[in-house]
Amino acid sequence: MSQQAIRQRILEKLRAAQAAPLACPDAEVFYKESMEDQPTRVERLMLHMKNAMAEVHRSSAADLGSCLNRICSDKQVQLLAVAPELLSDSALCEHLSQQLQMLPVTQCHVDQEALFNTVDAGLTLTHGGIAETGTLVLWSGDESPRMLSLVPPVHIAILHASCVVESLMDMMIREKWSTGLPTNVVLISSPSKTADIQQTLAYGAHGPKQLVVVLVEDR
Amino acid sequence: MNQPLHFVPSDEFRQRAQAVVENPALQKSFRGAMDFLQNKRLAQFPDDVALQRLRDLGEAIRQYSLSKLPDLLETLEAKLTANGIQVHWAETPEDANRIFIEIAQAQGARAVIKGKSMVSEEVELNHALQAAGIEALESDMGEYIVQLADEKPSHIIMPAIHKTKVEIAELFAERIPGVDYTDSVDELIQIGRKVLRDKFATADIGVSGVNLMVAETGTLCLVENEGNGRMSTTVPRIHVAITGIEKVVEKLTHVPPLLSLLTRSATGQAITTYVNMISSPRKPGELDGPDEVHLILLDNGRTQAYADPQLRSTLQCIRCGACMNHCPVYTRIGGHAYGTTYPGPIGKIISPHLLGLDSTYALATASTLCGACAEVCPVRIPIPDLLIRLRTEAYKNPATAGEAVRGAGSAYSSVAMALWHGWAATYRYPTLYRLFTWCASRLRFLTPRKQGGWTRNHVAMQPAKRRFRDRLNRP
Ligand code: SF4
Repeated sequence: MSQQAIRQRILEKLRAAQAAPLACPDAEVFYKESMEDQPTRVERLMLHMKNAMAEVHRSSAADLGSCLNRICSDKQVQLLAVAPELLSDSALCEHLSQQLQMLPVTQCHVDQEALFNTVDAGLTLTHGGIAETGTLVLWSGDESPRMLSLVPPVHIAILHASCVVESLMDMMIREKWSTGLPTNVVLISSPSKTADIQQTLAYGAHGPKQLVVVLVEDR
Repeated sequence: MNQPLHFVPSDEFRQRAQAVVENPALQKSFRGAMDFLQNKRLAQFPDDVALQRLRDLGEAIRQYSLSKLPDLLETLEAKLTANGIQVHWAETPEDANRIFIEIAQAQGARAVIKGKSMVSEEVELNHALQAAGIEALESDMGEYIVQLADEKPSHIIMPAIHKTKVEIAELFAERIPGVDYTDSVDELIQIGRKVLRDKFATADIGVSGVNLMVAETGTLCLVENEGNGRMSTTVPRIHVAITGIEKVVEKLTHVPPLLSLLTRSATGQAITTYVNMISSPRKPGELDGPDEVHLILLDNGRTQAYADPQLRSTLQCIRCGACMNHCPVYTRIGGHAYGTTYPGPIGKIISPHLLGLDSTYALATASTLCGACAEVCPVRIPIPDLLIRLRTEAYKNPATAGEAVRGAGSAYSSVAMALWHGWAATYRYPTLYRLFTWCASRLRFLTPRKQGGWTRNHVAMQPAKRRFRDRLNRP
């Protein structure tokens, strides 16, 4: 049977059995916006992330470069793959390159070998954060490749405090996600982990063994 | 068409179950694992009122989605296609495997890396690929372990839950070249990581399942903890997702409540490590991601469940596994005894549609109808009611059984049916009842010693010397 015929048969079987559509449940009303102020909300996110074994740091925008340098030397990162979206920040890059070898990401994605074998850490921005579950939201794009937060053993994510919202629902509604999504949205809430061997938790299953969140307090 | 993939005779189910019940080591490990999962779930739902409200919402969303299923599938297909994702429809497992192999062969693919997908287990994709000369490697740690041992998953969320650390350590040392015995869980995971990393980098195709599909945006949502799902859907040049037709919701805002119910019910996590939402292949200008994304939508008996107003609720399932974690039968017999891809309560109610009732009716009878499954099911599927319905279907007279479930009437026995009719009549007519009890108390010496299933675990029954009615009249 052709593809088209199979499709037709399945849809016909379903149509033959279909009753009147039910009323559409309103999921949005379920998620009331909390009255909390922004700093408290950010604290909650940081606490959740810490409990989920992510490492959390805070920095002002001005100190970001030295904060990242400290983190990298602490983790013995020598080769850092930096997301293109950060490369326009020349002050930051200059700061980082004083101490580290920075990999031009455009090249390392052609040369997957490096990303899989020699890069010590990936540095990315985040689209936002979710306080309810302690979650980072990453949007893919031309300047935001997907593998930097996944393949190297350490993922360092920069989160701006002003981008933290209460819930996933909140973010979807505020930013009108239903009108269009990027190639990939990924929510990250801890380092990669598994409990597949005798329910024993182990970190660094296939993704990063360490997740480092750097909260930038914008003012 | 629609040939059952594996025929599971009911007596083998009994034997397999018996073997597990008699194995104290397995008993202990299942009990421990289920206690662990039950407690983790409980800790995520401290407020019962909030939980019940969320379950109401989850149930309403799933029922609403099913009420519009054909429309949503068409919208989804249109959206995905516009986004550049290729949609394929499969009525049978053979269809699904054929489509997959065609995609692979068109690209000259030789190696496939798989994220966790129960639907790919359902169609036995690995088998089909092997036959076509394509290597398929599981990358979820649990699935990898199970594949290494030539076994099948025994739980839909934790595939290797039947294995102990020591068994896995021995397995690794024996089957992975150059690996020494270690029973440190961290080291074992690192061994798995290392083996599989190379495969991610070189595989031509990555396979995944799908947890939810969103019609309005054309988005595939996947939840996972390990990162192998992201690897499989990001690194190889082609990504093929495979899932059942029922997994679609209309709106993006329908995702958060279901997501929250799913992860909390399944593993007791407020959210999994990764939630991966894929809406298109790599766009021009993007640095990574697959060039092609395909979605295979599988029917395999789901339209049969859909056609019946009561059985349709089976399709509300979001595959969290909570029903098996709380099932006293699953806890004692484990996942393999069922012999079906989906074990436990969900397996009992979905398998008859996938495989036919003739090979699966025994599963529906292996329940005390205690209702623990329905009590925890996040989308409120009335599992015990469905079990009773499936039993009724199985024991109907085949001549009049109807077509609601393939294989209906396959457990029918005219002798048993006659006995039940006699039994019913005895209780309906007082004269007959009195006559029967009078005879029974006089002829009690004729009662057989072996009384089928009853005497396997109980002392043989025998009518009393004097009927209750006689004792009441003359104490
Ligand atoms: S039937 Fe309910 S409890 Fe069982 S897996 Fe499906 S959603 Fe979860």
